[in-house]
Amino acid sequence: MSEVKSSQDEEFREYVAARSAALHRAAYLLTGNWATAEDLVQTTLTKTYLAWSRIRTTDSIDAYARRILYNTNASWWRKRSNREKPTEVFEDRADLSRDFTEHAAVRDAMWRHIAVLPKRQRAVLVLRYYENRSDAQIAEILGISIGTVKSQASRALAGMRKRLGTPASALGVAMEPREAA
Amino acid sequence: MNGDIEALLRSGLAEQAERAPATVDDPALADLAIAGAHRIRRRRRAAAGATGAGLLVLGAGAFVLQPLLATEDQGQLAADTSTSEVRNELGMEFLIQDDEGYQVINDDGDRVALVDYAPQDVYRLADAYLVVSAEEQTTELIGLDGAAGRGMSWPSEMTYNVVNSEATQFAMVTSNADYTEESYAINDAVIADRTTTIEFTTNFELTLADWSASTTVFTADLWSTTAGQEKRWFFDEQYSWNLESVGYAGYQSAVILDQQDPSFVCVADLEPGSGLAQVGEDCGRVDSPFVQEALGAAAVDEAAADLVDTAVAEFSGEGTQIYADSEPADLGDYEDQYYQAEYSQLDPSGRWELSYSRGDSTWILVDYTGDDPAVSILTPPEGAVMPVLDCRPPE
Repeated sequence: MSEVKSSQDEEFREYVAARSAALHRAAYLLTGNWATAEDLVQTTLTKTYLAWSRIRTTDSIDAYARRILYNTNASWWRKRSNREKPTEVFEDRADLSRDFTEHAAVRDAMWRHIAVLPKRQRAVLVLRYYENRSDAQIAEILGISIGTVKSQASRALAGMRKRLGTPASALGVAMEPREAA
Repeated sequence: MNGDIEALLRSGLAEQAERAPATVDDPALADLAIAGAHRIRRRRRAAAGATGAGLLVLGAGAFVLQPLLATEDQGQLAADTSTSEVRNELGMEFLIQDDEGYQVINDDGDRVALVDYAPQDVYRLADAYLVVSAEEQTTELIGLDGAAGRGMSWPSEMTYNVVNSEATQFAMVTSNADYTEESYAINDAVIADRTTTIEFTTNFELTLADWSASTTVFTADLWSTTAGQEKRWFFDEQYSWNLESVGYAGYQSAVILDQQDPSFVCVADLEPGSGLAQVGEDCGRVDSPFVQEALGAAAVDEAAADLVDTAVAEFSGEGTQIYADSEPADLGDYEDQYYQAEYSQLDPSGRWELSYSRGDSTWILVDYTGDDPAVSILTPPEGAVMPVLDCRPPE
């Protein structure tokens, strides 16, 4: 029994060594900061290990882990959303010491916009544009309908189009509403 | 333009993701996960043992002894739950399909014929069922006894519905093709010969969250402009929110909650039938004298303050929504089934969660009404398609 356990643990360690970097990257894009991303990956791996004896012989280990990653993030959001503030999300602000090229500025503007998107919209964008998943696969991973995937993506893209539509807005030089006299 | 944005997203996300931390190949990561999993299993065994001791008194010995005698790791054992139990205790209703079409089994156990097409969702409102079909692109109001109601075709495939917290009205919401504005058509959720529809159109940045006869509550991004500063701001004027349209529709006030910090709100004073009562919105903490005074001046009915307080609580995660007060459920051996199910439905009042695949003989039920979430296996009624989502306020 212990040999079986040991073998399973070794397989799990190999899986973690091979895939943890990718899971971290996805988790970072989902959460917007490293500390939360690391917590999310650790929780995901713990849950994956709990199911390891059942999924280790299947072809869908990574799909299983991904689904846990995205769903755990969603459930954390439900619990924690009221404590998240924009200032806590923007951990990775533009580095002013380096060349502030237009490319970097636009990319940072995009990232700032993604960081404040509702979690489901952000998950759809990450799955579609980072992991290159189809809408059907996204629907399966997130447990939502394909129509919802499309509407969430449309809403997120519309917001980005509006915010990044002009160089000024892309660079964050937004017009401030005037103050009361 | 979408192509440019999509290309930017692909390159930008990839670039951002490459800023990976140096610790990701930490060999301790797997061992920490293994140790964490063992701790969870030990807790589950202890919990199952404790539960077993209690149930043993009731004569369920064969079932509850298992975790105490087992030599291998065991997940949490879930009790079976019957359809009648969830009907009586949680007021749950089901949509089922049989030869005669789609019907609701209501909380009295009676069958109510609804439609002959497959709905996307069925909502229980105060005095009617709301049947939504993305495939048919229709929203249909049907009486609690199955009496024919109103069927409404969607203006666009992107149309969706919102129900107010009293479950007495619903909105048909449709954005324009450019996603710059959104049109709302508010309908009474009653079966009547003559009904009135209230219409207004606001900037896409605003999302309608709730409303009463006098007050509309929206959410929007306020914080990135205001940084929480209490004073009069001019969102409507400078960002073309078109709150005037809400006033024309007959509302006395519009209250906008910040998406990130819902306790920061802006109050717009409207003139029913005319548009705006004043230019500018008074913004600040919802419980501040500045905002309370603005709210009192804008809406004549006292219920407006309750409506806003309830919305702030809901969007702050302190209301009745799921997970508001409880820890995530320990799914035990049913974690696989939970995550691999095709559908997950949450009770709008946060009392339960169902994870299921159509055609499965058992569904996973998480009951949030106790001190801790309770996972059980529900045997749905024959032909069950989905639960009906009850939008009525909790009693």
